[in-house]
Amino acid sequence: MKVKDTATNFFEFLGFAGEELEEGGFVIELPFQPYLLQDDGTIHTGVFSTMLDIVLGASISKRFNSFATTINLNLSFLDVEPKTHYRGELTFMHKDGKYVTGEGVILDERNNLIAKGIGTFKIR
Amino acid sequence: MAETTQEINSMIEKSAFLKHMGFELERHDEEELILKLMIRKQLHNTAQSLHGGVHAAMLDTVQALLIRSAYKAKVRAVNVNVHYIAPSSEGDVFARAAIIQRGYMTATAEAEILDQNHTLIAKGTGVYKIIRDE
Repeated sequence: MKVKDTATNFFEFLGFAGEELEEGGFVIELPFQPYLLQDDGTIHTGVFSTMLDIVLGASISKRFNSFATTINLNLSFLDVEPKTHYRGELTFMHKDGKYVTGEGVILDERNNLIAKGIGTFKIR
Repeated sequence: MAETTQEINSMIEKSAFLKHMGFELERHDEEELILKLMIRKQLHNTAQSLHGGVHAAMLDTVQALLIRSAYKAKVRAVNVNVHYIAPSSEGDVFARAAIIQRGYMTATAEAEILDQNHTLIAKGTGVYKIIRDE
């Protein structure tokens, strides 16, 4: 499955960009956008949840050439102060039949860990 | 009630992300807080149903608003866990939360999202740090 096939309306709505890696992986990029902020000047953690859902789901879709339905997501947020750029990538994947579990991280422009998540997806 | 419905609406109005997503306060009283979201095409995934990131953001938001309202203090999400139960592709969805643990430093809430036919589509929990003014 190509990256363009995993790019959704919602993907564009929040300003994400995807990049297919030569070795077969998938990385999601997000430059800072003013609409990612909440009233106290921090980034809404829903942005990081979305970013991890996309990077895990898209990486699994691409690897197994199948739509990946999210079953569960568990997310930890480490830093919500605004940064200029975010990058999300999958760090671990395990397949058991039609269920695939992936772990991923979001890093800022200085490679500081911003959020971490683990998710289980069902493939067709 | 810690914060008025007007104060919560003002909080939503001042949050660029909540406005961008389209979350609206449906109901707020002593017992509960309910958010409403009209599903639009911009919120769809490639299967033309509500994107998983929207469920996570909505559960996170309703939990955070309820705890913020109860403590009259800013809050920060530490951890959010989301279970996806069923897809939803059109109409309105509603999220409601309840506080299940009230500590001095942290609070825990649970929340669910129902569609307009009262079908459960997602359920979550979240742990929030209470940011007290010095």
